[in-house]
Amino acid sequence: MDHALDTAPPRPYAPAARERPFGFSGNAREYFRIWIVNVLLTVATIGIYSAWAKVRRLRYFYGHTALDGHHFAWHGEPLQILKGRFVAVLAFGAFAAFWHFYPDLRFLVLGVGLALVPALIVLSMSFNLRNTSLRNLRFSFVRDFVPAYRMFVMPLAVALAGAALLYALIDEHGSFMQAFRERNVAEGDEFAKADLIPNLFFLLLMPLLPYLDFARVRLLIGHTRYARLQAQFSGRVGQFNWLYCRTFGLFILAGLFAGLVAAIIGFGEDKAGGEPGMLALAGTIAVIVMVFYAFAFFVYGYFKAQRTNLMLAGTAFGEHQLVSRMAPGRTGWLYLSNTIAAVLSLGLLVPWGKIRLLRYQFACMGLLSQGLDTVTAGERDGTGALGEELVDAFDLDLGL
Amino acid sequence: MTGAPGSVYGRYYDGRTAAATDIVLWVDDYGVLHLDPPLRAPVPIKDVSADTRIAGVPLSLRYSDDALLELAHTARHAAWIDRHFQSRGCIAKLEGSTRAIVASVMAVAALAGATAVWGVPALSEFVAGRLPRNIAAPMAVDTLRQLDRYLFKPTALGQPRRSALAARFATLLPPSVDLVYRLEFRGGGMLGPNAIALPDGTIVVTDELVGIADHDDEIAAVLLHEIGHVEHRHSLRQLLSHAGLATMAGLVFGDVQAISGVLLAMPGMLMENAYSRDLEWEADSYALGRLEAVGLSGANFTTLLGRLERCADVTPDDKQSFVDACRARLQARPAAAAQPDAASSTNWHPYLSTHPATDARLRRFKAADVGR
Repeated sequence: MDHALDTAPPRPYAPAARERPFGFSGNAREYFRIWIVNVLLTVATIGIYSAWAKVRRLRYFYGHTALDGHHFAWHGEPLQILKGRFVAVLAFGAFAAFWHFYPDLRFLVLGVGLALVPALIVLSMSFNLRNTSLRNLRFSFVRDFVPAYRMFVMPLAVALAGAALLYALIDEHGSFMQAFRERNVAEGDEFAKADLIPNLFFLLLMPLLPYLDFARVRLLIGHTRYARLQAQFSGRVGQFNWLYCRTFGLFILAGLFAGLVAAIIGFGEDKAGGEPGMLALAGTIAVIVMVFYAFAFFVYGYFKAQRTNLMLAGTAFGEHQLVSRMAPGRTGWLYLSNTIAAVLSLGLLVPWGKIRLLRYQFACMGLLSQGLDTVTAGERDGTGALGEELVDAFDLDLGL
Repeated sequence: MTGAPGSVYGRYYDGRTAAATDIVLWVDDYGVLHLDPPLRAPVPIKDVSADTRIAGVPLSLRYSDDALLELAHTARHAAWIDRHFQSRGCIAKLEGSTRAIVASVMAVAALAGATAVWGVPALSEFVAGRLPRNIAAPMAVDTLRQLDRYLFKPTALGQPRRSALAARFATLLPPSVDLVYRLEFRGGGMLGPNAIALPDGTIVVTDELVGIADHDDEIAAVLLHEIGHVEHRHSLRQLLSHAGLATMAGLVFGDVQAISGVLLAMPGMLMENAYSRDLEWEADSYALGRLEAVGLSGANFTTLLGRLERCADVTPDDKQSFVDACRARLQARPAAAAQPDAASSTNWHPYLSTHPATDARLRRFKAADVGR
């Protein structure tokens, strides 16, 4: 057995950097079986099994994802997830109860909820990454709460300051307030200038959304580690601003196009003569909604594809650079056809759609690298599942 | 050693570096796991654990120091692991059996259907019955505030008329009352002729409804129906069913992209309309049960309901108030002439409506009068 000595051969030349492909080998048949058993046992156990279901689902997805022929793996523990899920359900129930039964406290409840979001995002990322491995080395997330809060506080402060400034500039009896009052006619309710503040705040927050998204992506990727490799995000905020602008423009176009289609249909009816009954009107509205929706899926696909490309192209683990080339049209078509299939099949084709999307997503991905063979392990520690489950329960989209 | 019988190919990851080594592994007669190349000392198989199996995912054997042996997921490798290691995995067997899968699909459909049709309403009735009554009071106050802000107008009814109706309302209340009932009057605005029951016992009647009633008995019959909503805690039940349906949809469709949620909400909406029809039916039953006790007949309810149905598409404009328009319509088109109109709209209407078909409701109240 003398060739045992060859296991770490000296390497005079570093291997050339080349693009190493990602791949997803899951198929709809296999996943459907896992999915339906998950649904059945979850419903039959009034949700208890959902923790085990999540483990099986994620182990299937990760185990079928490969980079350069090496498979990912997911290691979450069902009991840990169940505990987190239990607390999350209680928290969500309390939130919903307060929201419905104490309408006066809504701002307070919402405030408390929002204040927790950054911490939850950090904990959730931490749980997920620590339970992810590639080549038997774990990913991890640097649990740093301060930058997470700073990232949220900054845009909120800017919007609030802007709202305060505008508030100071608006004349209580000026034409703007007059117009605002007329648009919001209400019996017995006098609109004070102070009622404008929430409106102004959200209005000013809107243009800051791309920045918020960018800051979040930078935070999440910048704190991610694979073994000893620290990830860096080199994307720029301008790219996000521009992407959001284009998406917004496309949505406007989609609306205009839907309106145009409706106008053509409407003229057609006029020529045919006869009374435009309620049914015809409902039909026209349905057409507008459907056309708009079909377009919205493509716009959404465009956004998702471009954002994923932007995010991954800006991500490097040391010298190892991620690459992604999702095509907007293809992505939009996947979203649209998946949804149609899911609705027409009463949900039975949901797993098929999920697999299709993942196959495409990973087929578009690669890692520009000389190979990961020399990466060494980092230190290990654990994070509970609570943050992750709360993020799940409140449906916070991490967008990764 | 590579060709030895009973040996399999695998990949070894030591857990300290990312490097992978292709290896041959076999278990000898003493139950000891060997590797070739011998990257580590042979260990008894009890010190190595096999992961539960998932379709197509590489099979893994883990040393106690977290080193990993990965085997491609083939039938031969799975059998080899089964021969030497304890393998857990009844779920994997379930997923592997086509018969079990077909049974699962049917069971899920049956369970989901039964939960949506019976489970959710029954559970929300159970929970609503056990929640304290006053829990919904702030919600009711807020609802009325919103309605006042966006839909209702102040009432145009005079004080004497309102007092008379309020006095009548007091006679309709159930014998044992554990909350304070209150009658409110509003201009209906977009809602037109309508009555609304809020969970704290506030019942709102619109001027339009009062206007098209020929007799206070008719209004009283409608008020009974609304009291039925309050007594059976319908607002809370509706809220809870909504939450129940959302949870169920989350379980089944959890994987679907967010944007599809809007389309998938449609079956949920239809289901909630079905619940709402059941609640209306229940409020009718309550009213039916109490008619005699308060000295009313089913005809009081049916005449007003019939009139409402025939004025369903009347919209008020600047020239004519709703009540005048409706009265003009009723004069011009007596009950019989309105029939074909109603028939054509009831074909698809029931599935989209929050109220049961008027015909069915009317028949019930008429039958009650005959039976007396």
